[in-house]
Amino acid sequence: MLPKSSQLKQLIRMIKTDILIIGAGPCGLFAVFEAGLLKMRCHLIDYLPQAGGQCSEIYPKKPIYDIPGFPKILAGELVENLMEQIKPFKPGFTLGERVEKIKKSQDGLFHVTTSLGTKHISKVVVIAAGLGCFEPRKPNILNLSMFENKGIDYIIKDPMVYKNKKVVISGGGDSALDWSIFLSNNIASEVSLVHRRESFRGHPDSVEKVNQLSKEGKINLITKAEVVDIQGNDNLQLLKIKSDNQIFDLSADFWIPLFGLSPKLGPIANWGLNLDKNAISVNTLDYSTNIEGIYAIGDINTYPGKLKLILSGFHEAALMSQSAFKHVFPDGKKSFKYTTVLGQIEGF
Amino acid sequence: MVKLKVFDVEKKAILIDNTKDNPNNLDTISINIIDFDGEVYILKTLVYPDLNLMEVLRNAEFHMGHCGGMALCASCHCYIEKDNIKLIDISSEEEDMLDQLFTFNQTKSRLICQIPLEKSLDGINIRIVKD
Repeated sequence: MLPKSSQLKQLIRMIKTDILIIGAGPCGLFAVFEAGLLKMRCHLIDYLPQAGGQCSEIYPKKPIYDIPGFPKILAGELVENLMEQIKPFKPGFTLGERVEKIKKSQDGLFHVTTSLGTKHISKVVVIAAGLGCFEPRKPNILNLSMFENKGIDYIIKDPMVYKNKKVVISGGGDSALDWSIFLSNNIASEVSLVHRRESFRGHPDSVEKVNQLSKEGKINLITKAEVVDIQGNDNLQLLKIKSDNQIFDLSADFWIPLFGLSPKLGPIANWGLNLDKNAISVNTLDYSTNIEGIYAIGDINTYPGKLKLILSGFHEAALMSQSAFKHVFPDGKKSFKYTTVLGQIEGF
Repeated sequence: MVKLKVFDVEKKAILIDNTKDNPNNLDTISINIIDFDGEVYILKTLVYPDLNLMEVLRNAEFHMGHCGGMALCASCHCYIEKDNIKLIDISSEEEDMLDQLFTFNQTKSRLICQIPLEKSLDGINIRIVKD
């Protein structure tokens, strides 16, 4: 019997891999390389919409000075290099989704489900989640959660969702400026930008562009103001804006507060792992956790003498991969070879 | 426990004394802290050269400083009462980050990773702001 369409959809969304890596920062990416050398396939999940973790999200233009072999490298360049390095091993990515549940079945496989319901099955789970999930900073407003995903978005994944809609963006940084400019270009029917201060401290070009679009009537610029209340029925309909001690109404289909991202441990705390001050305790023999088949590498783990350095995470990724081999290929014989001996990197 | 008033909160403070081992005879200062859960602390610390306020609080196990002190994550965003205390001016990098925060307060907000540890900070009142 053919599966029903809903079942088929579920099957299609089920991703199978040898090693599932939670966190696509530098350590997670390098783990793909080390695992690939041992013929283990990897899939990465990250809440951010792009790979690279903190290096891409927080400081892509900052130079790093303690990556061996690179006297100086920009964090963003390091991520680009790592992506190039792991290309032969064709890793899969589930981006913009947060891992919610990990369940180990009797056959030893891990069933991992994300916030959007994407299901993954793997023989090994590696947590390389750095500081945890980068979650949006949320405004302190009553009833906020009632309208989340019903008019309130903190991350823009698909701008076309806002086609012909009335959109209000809050914030004073580059994200707020850039998205206001983007959405005002024949996407949203109305774009309002609400900022607490009179001036913006984003990139000067973006500030100038927003001011120009405001003069042209394409962006409704509301400064020295903030959203203080939200109203609607099933979906968001109205924002109350406070400016100069006056409160006025602003009709809106969407409100996008862009106040940056903040790392939180999130659901990791509920997976039964031994924790020590917001970090996962591991055995330094192979960086395994208290749950057989789950490893933790990089800034998320802790052990005596732990140094939160990218280079430490790379070392941990190598040792983890050697240990994970026994879970992926229980009857396999592992041979350790230098990449110089291999002559070339054989991918999948 | 001593009763302490930090900002508008007056309650018994928990003392954290990190000054006991002082072979180099460094200056000692006292920092009054109210955590975002309302607990009040008095943190006594030595004035180590080359440390900033965030590092001192992080060493005392306050959860902050995720970006390592680059003014890039705002996990050390605090409100500061600074009567009679002259703080280092806000840099443009710090202002860029503060400007993005919903909880920004024009007169009190600072990223304490940008404030060098100095003897003049003795008695400073700090409220850690919840993201």
